[in-house]
Amino acid sequence: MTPAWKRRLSFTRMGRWYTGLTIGIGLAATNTGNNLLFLVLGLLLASIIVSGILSEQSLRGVRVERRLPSVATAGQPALIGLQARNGKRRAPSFSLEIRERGGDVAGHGFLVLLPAAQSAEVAYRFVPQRRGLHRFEQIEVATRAPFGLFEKSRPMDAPAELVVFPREVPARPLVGRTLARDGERPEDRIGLGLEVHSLRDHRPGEDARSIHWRSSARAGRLIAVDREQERRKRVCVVLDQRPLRGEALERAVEHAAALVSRELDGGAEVSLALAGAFLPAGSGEAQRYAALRLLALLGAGGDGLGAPEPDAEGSVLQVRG
Amino acid sequence: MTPDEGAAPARITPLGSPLTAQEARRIVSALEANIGRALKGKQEIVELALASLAAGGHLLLEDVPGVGKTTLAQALARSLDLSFARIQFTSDLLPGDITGVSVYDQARNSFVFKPGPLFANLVLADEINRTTPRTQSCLLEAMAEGQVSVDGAGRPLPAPFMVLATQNPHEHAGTYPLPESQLDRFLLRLSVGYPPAEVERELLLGGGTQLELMHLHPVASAQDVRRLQAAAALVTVAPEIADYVLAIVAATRQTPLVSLGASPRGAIALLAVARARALLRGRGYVEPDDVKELCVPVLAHRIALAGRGPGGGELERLAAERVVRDLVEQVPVPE
Amino acid sequence: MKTPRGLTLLQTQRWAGTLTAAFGFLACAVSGEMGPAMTALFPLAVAGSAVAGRRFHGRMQWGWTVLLVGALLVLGVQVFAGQIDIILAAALFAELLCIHRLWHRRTERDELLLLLLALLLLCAGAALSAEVTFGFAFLAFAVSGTWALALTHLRFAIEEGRGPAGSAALLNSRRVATPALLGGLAALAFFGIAGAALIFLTFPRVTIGGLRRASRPAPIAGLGDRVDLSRHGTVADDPRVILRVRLDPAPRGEPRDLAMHWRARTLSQWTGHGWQSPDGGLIPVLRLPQRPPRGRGVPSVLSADIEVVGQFTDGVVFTPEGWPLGVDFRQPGTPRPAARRLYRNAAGDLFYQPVDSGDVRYSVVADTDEPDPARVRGRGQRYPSWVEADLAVPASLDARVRALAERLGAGKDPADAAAAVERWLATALRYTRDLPGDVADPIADFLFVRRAGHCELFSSAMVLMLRSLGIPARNVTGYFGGRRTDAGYYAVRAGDAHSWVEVYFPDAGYVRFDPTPASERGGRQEGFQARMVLLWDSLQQRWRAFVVDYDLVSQAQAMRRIGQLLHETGRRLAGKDGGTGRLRRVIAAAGGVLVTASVIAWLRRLRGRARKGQERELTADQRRAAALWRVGRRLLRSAGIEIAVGTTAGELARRVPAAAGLVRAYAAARWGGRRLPPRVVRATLRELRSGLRASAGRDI
Repeated sequence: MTPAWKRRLSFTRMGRWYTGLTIGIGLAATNTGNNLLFLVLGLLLASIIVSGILSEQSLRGVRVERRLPSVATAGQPALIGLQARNGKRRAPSFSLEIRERGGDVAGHGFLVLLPAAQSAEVAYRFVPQRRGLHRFEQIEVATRAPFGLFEKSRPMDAPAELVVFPREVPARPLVGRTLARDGERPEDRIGLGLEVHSLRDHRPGEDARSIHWRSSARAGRLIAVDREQERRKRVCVVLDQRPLRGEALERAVEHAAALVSRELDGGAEVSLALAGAFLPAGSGEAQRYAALRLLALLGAGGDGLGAPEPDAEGSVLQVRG
Repeated sequence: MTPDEGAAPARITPLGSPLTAQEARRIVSALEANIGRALKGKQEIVELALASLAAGGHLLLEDVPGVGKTTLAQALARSLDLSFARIQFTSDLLPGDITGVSVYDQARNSFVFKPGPLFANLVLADEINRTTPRTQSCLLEAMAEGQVSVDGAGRPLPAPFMVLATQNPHEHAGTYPLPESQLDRFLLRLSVGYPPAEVERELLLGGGTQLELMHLHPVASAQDVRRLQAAAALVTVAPEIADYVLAIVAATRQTPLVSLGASPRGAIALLAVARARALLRGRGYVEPDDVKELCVPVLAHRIALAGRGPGGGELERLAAERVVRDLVEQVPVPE
Repeated sequence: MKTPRGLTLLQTQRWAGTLTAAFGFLACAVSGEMGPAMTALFPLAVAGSAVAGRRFHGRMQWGWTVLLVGALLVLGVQVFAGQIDIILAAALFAELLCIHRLWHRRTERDELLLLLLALLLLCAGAALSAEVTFGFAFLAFAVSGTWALALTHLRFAIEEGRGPAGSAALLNSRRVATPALLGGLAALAFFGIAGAALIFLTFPRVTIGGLRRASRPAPIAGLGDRVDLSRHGTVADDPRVILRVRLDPAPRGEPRDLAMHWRARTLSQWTGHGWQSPDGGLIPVLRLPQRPPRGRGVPSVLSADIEVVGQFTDGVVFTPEGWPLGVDFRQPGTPRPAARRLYRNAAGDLFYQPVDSGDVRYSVVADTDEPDPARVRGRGQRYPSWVEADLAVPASLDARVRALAERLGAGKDPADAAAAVERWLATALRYTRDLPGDVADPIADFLFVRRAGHCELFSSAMVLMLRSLGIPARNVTGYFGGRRTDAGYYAVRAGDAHSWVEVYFPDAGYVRFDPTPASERGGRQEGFQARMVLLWDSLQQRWRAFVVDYDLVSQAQAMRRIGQLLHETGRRLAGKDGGTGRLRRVIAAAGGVLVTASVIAWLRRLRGRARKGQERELTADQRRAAALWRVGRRLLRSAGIEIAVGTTAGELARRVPAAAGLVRAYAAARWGGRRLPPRVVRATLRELRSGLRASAGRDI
């Protein structure tokens, strides 16, 4: 836990010159006893003190929260927001630089002015180069106000994690065996679907929408229609990561991610089978998120893990390295 | 419509610009005077009905027959230049009877939608507790969503749309009392009450209200009402006032006298009516008084008293109102 | 949309930098040592850079390099040859570098270098001059430097944070560098200056007296070694201060104008139309001549601390009225030995050596017991041989002068004769500042034709008349008067130049007579300009005393004084000395109030924290409204009206009609954000009070 009072101080280039000159003038003043040099020295030292007080005032009461994007993909820029709030009642904060410290991600934003009791958001672009877990540790608020002589910064603990999905690559075209089972598969039973299963008499109290008006008009009585239950196409993407290392593993993961995305886009129910992990079939964005997250966090090795167990009902898309 | 037209930036809002507090006050006093001619001695009820209108909510009038529920609705409709429909709820009323139905048109060889009485600006739903829950829920759904679904297609109701439902608390036989969840959809529950003695005397001697009703002229247009509603939403609410509302609602949930406290919708409703009433009084901001005085009509029908069944009669209502009134007295007023 | 007037952020930043450099330069230039060419160069360069600087950015770098290296070489040679000293050379080079930066300002580095060079110029100025004008340049530098530093930081922080494209709009906005921002920064600068003063005061000094270059005051002509009486024009009033004098003991009553003759030198040889000083060289003085034995009277000693502001090329020492007993060149309070030696000429006038090193301060101790004419009566006319020069009567002396002298003083005792002549001159003739012009015999012209003249004519006439009677007399020049300043010293101005007479009496020495009417002695510097000059001089003197000459001794004194003050306060608080019981009670009460107030503030803060949910920003009107409502409720409660927690303001207003106005004002301000002027607060409270009183009356 980083205490709230912790500060880091560093010189800017101007600060180094300025301090050097101050020391020089101090030496000259004490050597010669020239009072006007003492006066100049006093001004320089007082400016350093004022600068210290004001920069402290600028940093005090500023709180920063990080806003992570819900989805980040390797190779694609992600915007990471840094929401700063000035908790002081009256005093504004000047020239704040807000940046990441520690952790896997570097980035910073700059605020010229943060008025009292207000908040502002700055964002930086971050292009993750690899998939997987990216850790954030601290946010540092730094200011050079008011004179740009020193940079005072205050680290704040803001641990967070961002899972970066595998890089998006075009999916490889499918081979014949899997194509054969493509499409929606009707099941021979009554349910909610589009295809007509059978016609029967309308029963009072039933939903009026089930009335097949044409048949009713023809028959002179209310005829209801039953529709056929449909089931979605079901696909299982299988990736055995155990023999794969390094680039080969990355390519395989990207390929698997591409397959999952394409099948989900096509409306299929997709399951994902990895060595040591299995994601049951599902569809929609939630499923895509779960599958990509699993792939994003897939590590190399795992020799002790069992082989992937594909979904028995789906068609199997095997990914090879 | 071509895509270009669809992308045209100019969107005309159907609401019109919101009224200022002074304009609102002017229109409202005209309305109050107008309605007051037909419904004498009931300024408070008229104001609440108008507040409900301004807040875009629906009204439940619970009272014995003959005290002017219908008169109120009709006076409101006539003063407002709004379309008015009256639906007498009976046990054999079907949802289609109020929403309207699709009818097969032989000549055009297609189905044509015949809108029901619900397609009016102001709907008087008389004796709502006499019809079946199915029709009740159809009405309540229309009230909540501002549209009805007929044959799978949503058909929007006109705006403004306001339902004045009445029920007679004294009759139990053959009625289907509304459950709390349904009552929750009414913004306010009012009881008109007997007129003051001198007014009753005047009524007796003056030949009733029908004549007055006939001579009422509209003093506000539908557009005015829409602008009034828009303005009500803009009335300023200090954060402390919102906290006050929440504290009152929380009090109804905490007290052992009440088995089911007011819902979040209750809190929203309370604030909405408070806003509307502040506007009616020519103010652009809500005061604690607005909230406090509206607690009974807004909250009493939303709570269930401990140890009693739902939808009770007159006594039930009075007990609930008293509980709410007592509770509110104990919630500290923001200063 | 209306475009706001004023400068953009970028323009303001650049101008602040230029101003800072200019003030740095000014701090150097006020020393007057930079020479006219280099002094004129800087303003020209600033103007040039403002007009054409942009075109030269980054161009002709080699030309500048050659120029700067050349200047460095020239300056080096000059320093080596001893023509200029190294500090001046450094200042000149810094000025050139500064000009170079002014013409090449693009990057952050350029701007910062410019500021650092300006700072170097300021330091050089500190070494070059000790004038109060440096103080003003310093103050201006502090303000503009704060602007420049802060705005430069702001500008480059924006450029860095937003990139060149994103920052352009902000940098070119006229809404950033508003007077408010500049004013705030100036306030910051004043904090800096206050801190500088504190550091200046407390930074430990290790030397006694500072090494500094002596100032070079403008030489003042005037008290030369000859006087020509037949000049044209009028005696000019010159308000420039030439002596700052402090008397110990202070003159009784501290009058605004001192009546004191400041004697400079003797002019005893008549030239026919004027005077000149006696021949003969200077001889060192180890001890001043013993004063002749006095008659009765208590010895009274006056010490005059004289600071010579105007520079006198002859190095004359001024002495106050009385017999000078000693001259001390040590500065008061410093144990450093005097670097000057005292000399005298044949007439006994005192001089110091060396003459050229300006900045002279000495104190003269004199026995103020002057023999008056009555006391020197009857000393006879046996004069020593060395006063013969003061008996020389010019052959061309107008017979009427001699006759007049005879008429006034023949046969009288020399003391009475001198007094008679003095009195006659002062009463019979008129004083005028108009000079006689080119006349053959200025004395005769003065006595018999114009019968009016200035002080030199009065004194000359008296000397010649006395001499014609055989009484040794001589003409003396100096200053008369001294105007009190608010800094506590008396200022003798150039226009106070005066001329009077000394008459020799055996065993008494020379005794002063002044024939000029008393009301006309000295100058008459009264106007606005004279007041300004005095003000400036006292400023300059204070700057000298408190800033330039602040050293280990003064620091020790200042610290001791602060320590004493603290001690005194502590003792008074403890009530041991003079601290009456009343004072103690007052202080105890004040302390108690302070403690109570801070406890209350702390508790309120705690309470505020506790109801964090309600801790919201209220406007001043809302706070006032809440306070009004609290007061109103208290009034209502004290009137016996019950208020429950759930009672709203509106309900109360219905119950108590007198409170209606208050409640309306409160609610509108508190909940509606309406204005609540204190006037309304007072009016509603008044209404409530009177309403409550009325109802209470009804109850009875």
